Amino acid sequence: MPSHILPLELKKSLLKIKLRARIRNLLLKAFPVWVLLFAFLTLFRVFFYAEWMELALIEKINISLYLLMLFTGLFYFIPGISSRKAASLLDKSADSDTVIPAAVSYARHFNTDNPFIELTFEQAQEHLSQTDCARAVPFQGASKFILFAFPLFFVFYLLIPSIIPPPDYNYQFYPAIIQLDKELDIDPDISKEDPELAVIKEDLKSLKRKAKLFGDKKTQDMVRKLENLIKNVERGAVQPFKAAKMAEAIRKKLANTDKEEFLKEKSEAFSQLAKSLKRYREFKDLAQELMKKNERGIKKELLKLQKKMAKMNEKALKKLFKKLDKSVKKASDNLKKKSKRMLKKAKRLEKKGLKKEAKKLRKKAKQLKKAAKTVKKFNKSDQKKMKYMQKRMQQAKKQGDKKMQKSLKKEMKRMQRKMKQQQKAANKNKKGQKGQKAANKNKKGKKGQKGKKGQKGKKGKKGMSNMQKSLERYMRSRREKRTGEQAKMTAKEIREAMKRLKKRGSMRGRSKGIKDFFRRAKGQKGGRRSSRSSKSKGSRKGSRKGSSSKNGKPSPYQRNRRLNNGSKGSRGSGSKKGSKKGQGTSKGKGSKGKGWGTADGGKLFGKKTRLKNKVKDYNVKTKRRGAGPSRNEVILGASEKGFSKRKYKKVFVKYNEQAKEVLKQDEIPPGYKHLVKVYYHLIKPREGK
Amino acid sequence: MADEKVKQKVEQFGKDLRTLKNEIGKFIVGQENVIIGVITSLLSSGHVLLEGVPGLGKTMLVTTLAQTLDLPFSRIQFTPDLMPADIIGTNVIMDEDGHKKFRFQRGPIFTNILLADEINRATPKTQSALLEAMQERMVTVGNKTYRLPAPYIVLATQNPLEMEGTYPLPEAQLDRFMFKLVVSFPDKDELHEIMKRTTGEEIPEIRKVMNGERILEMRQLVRAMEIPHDIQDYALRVLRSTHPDYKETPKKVKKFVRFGGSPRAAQAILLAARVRALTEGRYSISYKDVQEVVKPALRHRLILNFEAEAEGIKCDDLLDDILKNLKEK
Repeated sequence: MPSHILPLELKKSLLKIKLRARIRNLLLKAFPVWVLLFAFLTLFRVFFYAEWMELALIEKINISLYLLMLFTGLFYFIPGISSRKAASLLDKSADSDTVIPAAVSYARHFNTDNPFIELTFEQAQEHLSQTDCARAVPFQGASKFILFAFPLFFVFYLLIPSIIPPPDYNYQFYPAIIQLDKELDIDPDISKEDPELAVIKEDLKSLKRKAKLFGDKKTQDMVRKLENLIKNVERGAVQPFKAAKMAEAIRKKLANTDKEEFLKEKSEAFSQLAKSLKRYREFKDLAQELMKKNERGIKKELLKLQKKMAKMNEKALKKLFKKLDKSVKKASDNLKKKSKRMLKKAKRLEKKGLKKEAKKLRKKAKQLKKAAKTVKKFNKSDQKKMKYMQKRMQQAKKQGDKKMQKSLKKEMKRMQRKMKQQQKAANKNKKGQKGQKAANKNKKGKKGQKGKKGQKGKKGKKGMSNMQKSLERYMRSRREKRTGEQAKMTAKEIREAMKRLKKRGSMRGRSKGIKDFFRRAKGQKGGRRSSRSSKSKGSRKGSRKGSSSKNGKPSPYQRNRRLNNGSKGSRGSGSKKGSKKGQGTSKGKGSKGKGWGTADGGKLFGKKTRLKNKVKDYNVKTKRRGAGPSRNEVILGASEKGFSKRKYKKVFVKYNEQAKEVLKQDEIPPGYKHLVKVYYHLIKPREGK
Repeated sequence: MADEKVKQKVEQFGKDLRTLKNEIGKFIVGQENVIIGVITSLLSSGHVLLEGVPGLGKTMLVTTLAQTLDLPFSRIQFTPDLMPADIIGTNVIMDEDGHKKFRFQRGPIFTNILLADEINRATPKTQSALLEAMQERMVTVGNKTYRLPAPYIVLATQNPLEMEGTYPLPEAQLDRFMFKLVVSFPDKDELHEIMKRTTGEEIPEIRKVMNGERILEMRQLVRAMEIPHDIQDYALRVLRSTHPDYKETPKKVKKFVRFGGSPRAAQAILLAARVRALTEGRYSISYKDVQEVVKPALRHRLILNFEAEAEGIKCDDLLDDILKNLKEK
């Protein structure tokens, strides 16, 4: 027999042993590593929730750990054991007294024909009955280990992750509430998206539109960044704490603008000009609008003036331009005088040793001087402007200010182009007027007389257009500044929102809170299920309140609560655990309460409901049970006040506008502004309703 | 056909061996390992060194074996004044047809079964006289070589207690013994049986159950068996583990052993393992066969260092350690 083939049964047994050995390897060697890796996974999960690590990093670590697990498994499973070892293990199970290893060895090494070998194969098959695979490769040790390792595995893989949910890759501000009670007639759209997020998104949307229309490039850029930031937070790619930092960085970038000086200077110039224009009847309205800095008004007045001018004869025009010249000159002189006065005052203050104040005054004086120049420029002709620019160019060259050089060059080119165009137009006019020349020959003498005055008229016309341009620039800058400021405000709000989000951590508490609210709205008691979360939240809030009201002043939170609870709201003061409703005594310590205040809200919303009248009451079974007005109450209320005849949309728009105004005026602390916005978002009329 | 013949031969081997063992067992009570060891040596063409305190039946065992086998038997009592010629024989002047000639007078070594009783009492010179006979199965006297009859087996005994006036066997001499069997003191039941058999009226009759030819046939069968490479490898690894400079050697062996076993030890192990396998009716050897014969084959071949002797370390302990640590792979 040239080569020896193992009997089939023996082969099967060997394969079985090999498989068992692999499984045993997996259990004894790979499993401990898995337990360890799961412990790490859990640890990183905790890190994520403690916000020590970003989601992106966690994702990478998770993938690496899972790959490591896979590799560990493969590393211990794939190699297995040799046939020789398998035979030896089988033999051992029969007390090492079988010819199985011999048979395997013959099959591997011998090619010679020997009757003993043949007989060994036969005998090996017989000896198989003495062997026991389970004894050869026992899982007993492994099972003992599993008994120890499984609790660990359970803790790391099942228990802790169930307490600390896995990182939410679709990080939402609030989780969607899936089940809503239809009996409450609440549109589920409300809870589909987080209201705060919706508000931010809306703000960003309008801001983006504004930035596109009125904002400069920087603002547009920053708004785009803010938008991306919110998208990333929603996606879960950026953690709230990081997002807060990023929003702050954007806000700072928006704050660093050089428009402030320019706008102050222009503002000074135009208010001074408005003062001097005020004296003349023709410019009175324009001056008033200039004082108000009302963009629309200024435009309107300028248009009016242009229309008037079109109707005027030459004489009247001359008069008007003369007045304008005078006003410009006077405004410039006044500004100069003011500047000088301030410088003198600054010197006096310096002598007194009040350097800070002096510095401020000097700055102001400089500003006024600049404003005077600006006003004076209104009367400058293009040639003069050109000369002035050339002078400045030389200065810039001396100073080595390349930026200034570049901008001046650009401006000069623009001017040259403009002047050429004007010259062309003038030439055309000349040709058209050739025919008239002869007719006008007789009037030459008169022309000569009028020469100087005509120049003055031109100057006045130039001054008018210069002023108009400067005004436009000023208004544009103001618009840009306003948009920038709004973007800055939004960035600040986003930062605050992110901070709140960070504090909130998991959104489960919020979702439970909303559910609890719905239960209460139905007249049921607040669910026990949320007791744990409300406890923790309540305690946190309670402590905050306590600290804020140490001085005896109620915190804003308390103030709000009082308003909500009405005159007898004190009955509903908070429980020890700090339940959400009706908290806060004057000293800030929570005393026992019964939840909501039961009394009416005084005369805030009309007269008290008259329940003790002679009308017979009917108990009508309605969908709403428990708290809330009963049918007869609604009917009675309607008989007193009548049903609402106004459209909700109109009411909403009116109130929303008012709220926006209030928000703009900084009457509401920054930390509470979002609540107002969210409230208005929630009560916003939806389409089809 | 060949398979059937081999099957029959193996069966017969087992039967004969059991018969021989039973026959010896009629006279010798207990000492089963010693009996099996002696028979294994006989069938593996090896010699045996029996060690035990006096009165344990060492000589009796050998005598009984000689009686059961239809073979000539000689016994030499080794004493300090015993000379090599006393064992091998000598040339003596003989008168043949009026002519005086030197004729070789054969000594007691010219036999099939030789009992060298208390071998360590003779001087190394006399002990060395056995070297050629044991290894080459021949004796050289003068310039003439005499072949010893086959089968030839030397069964030597020695007393471990009385060390005074003895000459411990040199390594070369020890290495020529296939097995060193330790005859232990019988237990209580065995002693009862010994008393009953030896002090009674009835003396058991011993039959001759095997002749020289059959022994040679059996030896041939033993050598016909193939040795699986893996198991041979295991046996060689065991042998190498007795050497302190081998990587698989256990720490204990490295610490206490000066020299390990020779290749003769591996030969002894594999031959003895084959006999054991055939005795059990197997057609190939197993790991256990090797493990079972490691101790008798190696215990006299390990040379321990002074530290081991000072600490009372025994070779058997070291061999146990080797077997325990060595994996079968």
